[in-house]
Amino acid sequence: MTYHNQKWVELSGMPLEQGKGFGWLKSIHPEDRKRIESRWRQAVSNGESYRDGYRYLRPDGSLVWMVANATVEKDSEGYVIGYLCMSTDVTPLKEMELKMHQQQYHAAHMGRVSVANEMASGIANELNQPLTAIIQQIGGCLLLAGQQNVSEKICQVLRSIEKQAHRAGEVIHHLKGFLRKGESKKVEVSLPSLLAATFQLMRSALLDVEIVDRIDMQQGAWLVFVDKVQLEQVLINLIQNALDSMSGLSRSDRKLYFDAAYEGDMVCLSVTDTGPGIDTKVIDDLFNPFVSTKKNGMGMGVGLSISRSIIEEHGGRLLVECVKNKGACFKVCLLRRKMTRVK
Amino acid sequence: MSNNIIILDDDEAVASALAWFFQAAGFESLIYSDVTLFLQEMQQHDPLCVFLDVRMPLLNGFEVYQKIREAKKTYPVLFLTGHASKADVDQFGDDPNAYFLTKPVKNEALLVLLQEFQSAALDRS
Repeated sequence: MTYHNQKWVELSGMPLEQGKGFGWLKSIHPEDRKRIESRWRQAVSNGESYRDGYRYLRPDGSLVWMVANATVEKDSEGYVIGYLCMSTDVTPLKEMELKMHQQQYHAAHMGRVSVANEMASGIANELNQPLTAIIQQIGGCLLLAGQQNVSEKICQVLRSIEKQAHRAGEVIHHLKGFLRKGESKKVEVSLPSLLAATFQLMRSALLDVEIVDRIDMQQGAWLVFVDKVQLEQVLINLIQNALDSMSGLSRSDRKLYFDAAYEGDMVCLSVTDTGPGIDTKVIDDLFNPFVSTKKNGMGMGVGLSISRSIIEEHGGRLLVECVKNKGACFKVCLLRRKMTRVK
Repeated sequence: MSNNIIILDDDEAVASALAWFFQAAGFESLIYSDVTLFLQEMQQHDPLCVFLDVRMPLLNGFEVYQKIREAKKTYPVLFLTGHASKADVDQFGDDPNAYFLTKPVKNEALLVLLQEFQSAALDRS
């Protein structure tokens, strides 16, 4: 670049001198830079004009969306003598587009949340009835057994059935409580401590697997602002899925990797297993209710759908990244919580 | 005041399981799966208490409760519900004879309540 006007300096945020030569490339957002550079080089070597969109990442961290029209200038004999580039600031348009996307996304999300909610309360109501019947029938049996000198062994079994039925009832209550709107209690918590609490809850299930915690504590505190119980539910779900997928492997091959990375304003936690991975055919359906890749009876296919609802309710994303034959990797991205200043 | 318990529930399995439990505990019970029939015959009964399923066709448990109280019947009414919201409970906060039981209900809790109702009834008579 040999010349640019003051407006360019204002938009890109780059001082006049630094833009010269190929310096201007540095004003472009790192994610767009390579593409624009190769596009530019290609246009120059072919002597073509080009038009492309990109973002400036300004020193203050703000973004400016641009569309550039680079028109080739040729002399009378057809030799390229230079380019005239006109760039237009399209940030307001882009922002509107993004906002529309977000609104559509939000609408889709609300649809999912209400489906999951309806499902949970439907299941809860349907299961509560037979459980109520079972518990009161057993209660009657136990009372009669006490009056009629029935063997202690039978009474023990009856009490155990009663206990198990109550346990099932608690699971249902949890499921209902879990999706009820407006009752989540969010607190500041670090991802590693959340993971530690989850490991504690699942300790017997985790005996047969090697946990590889690769979260770098030097990189920060990994703080998020979440409902702990709900997040633990999500982690339990992801870990249980990973364990199920590795059930066919020998103990030494079962590994669970935990990684964390900052991505923009998000904190992302990945859970990767060494199982067979996920068939690309089902990957799009994976988060829909009642879709399960587990063998009959192993899963209802609601875990991931509920987990996604929870994460999205927190303003985050639940994603799956799959490398063929390399196990499944689920990524929980949550809004990053800036360290609160101690007053 | 009788030793009768009335159960209003359209789920037959739940109603008969409750009846079975009450019988084993020494109480007699009467099951109504049809709300309108109960309302018609309400005046004939003077039960120890009434168990009401909140979710029923035609009239829900809360509406049946209103009818019972409008008829000046003061016996204990126990709502059986999958989940009692705070708003539901608050609605009946000033009636000491309205109870909320979350399904599935613990047998011990039922026994304790029934014994309380019995001794309260004895005190009154």
